[in-house]
Amino acid sequence: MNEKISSLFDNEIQGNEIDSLLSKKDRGSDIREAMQSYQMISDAIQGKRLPKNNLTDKIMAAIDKEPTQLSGFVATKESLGQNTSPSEYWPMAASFAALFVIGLTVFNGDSIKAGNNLVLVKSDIPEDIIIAHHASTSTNMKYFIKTKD
Amino acid sequence: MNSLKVVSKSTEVYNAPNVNSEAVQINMEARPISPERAIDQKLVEKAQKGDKQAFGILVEKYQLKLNRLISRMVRDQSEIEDIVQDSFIKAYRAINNFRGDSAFYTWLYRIGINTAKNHLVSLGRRPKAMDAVDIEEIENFQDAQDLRSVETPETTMMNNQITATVNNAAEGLPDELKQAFKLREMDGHSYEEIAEMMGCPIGTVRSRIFRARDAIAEKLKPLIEETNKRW
Repeated sequence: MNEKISSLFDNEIQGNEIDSLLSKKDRGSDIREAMQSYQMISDAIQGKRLPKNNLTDKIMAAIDKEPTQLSGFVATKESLGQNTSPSEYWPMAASFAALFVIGLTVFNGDSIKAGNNLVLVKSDIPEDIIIAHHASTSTNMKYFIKTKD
Repeated sequence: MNSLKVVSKSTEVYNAPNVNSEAVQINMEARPISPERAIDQKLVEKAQKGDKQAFGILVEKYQLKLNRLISRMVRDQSEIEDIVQDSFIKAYRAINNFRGDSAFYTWLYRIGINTAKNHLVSLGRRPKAMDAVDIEEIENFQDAQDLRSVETPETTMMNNQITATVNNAAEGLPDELKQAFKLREMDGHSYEEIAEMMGCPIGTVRSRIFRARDAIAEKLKPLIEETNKRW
């Protein structure tokens, strides 16, 4: 594990190695401790002044009290390209296709029925019957105007 | 083994005005992102998905650098530590807003500078030093030497002891470990460059550098324990 941490410290680690490094829980403090030690060695060898306190533990104690940040994740174009395969969209596409087919079937069924009724009225019913029908329906003025006799 | 290399998919096209645009399009496609930035981006994405350990690595990577940056604006070490801590908490709370348009450390340093500025204003002090700190300086900011911790004879002695122990341990390493370690730590070469210089695979370089660090850390362990007890 420490060889990976050493590579991480040098920014020479591979992406999948970061995943495996962080795959186990409660490993964070071990990683930070190793990096702290490598930082001290690096500073000493380069003649830099060493810090009196390492603040990481204090900062992480405060971060642990914070709610975990999950919402509002913004995926970059790069991350979408790298992490999302086309197969993840298939169930959504299949659902839309199924809804489209059902909608189309219902729509076509209705229009076929309406078309048949229209043909029946025009061709099969004599005109005098239609006129008589109109005269007796509620749209006739006599229906609405009532006289006392 | 190759190091992590990510190539930006963004394309920048510059069109000169009043000239045939087809003739002067400068396509900067495939601009490489530094391995450091790519690794940080990966850690940020993990933190955005709720991995606090990933954020902890970013804290470990940058707390000292941020400390050194803030020390250019604020003198008191305890105030600096408070500002650094506040900056990381603010960064964590806003981590979902980080889109990767800039390097993580540029974003973090901006938060740090603003936190320091607000701190100084709240104390009625004029934040003078940060006027000189512009974005370019932040981008190029490397570990400054002027870590303004209050030096006492004890801390100076400890520093000297640690430096001497590390140097002695490094000198006592087998030649191939010492060479790989120094090429990395003192000359700042990449693993790939070191592999070419030493005529060995990158995996071997990686292993040698780790073994060198491990050996030095073993020698340093008693001293660190003693330091922690004293400090």
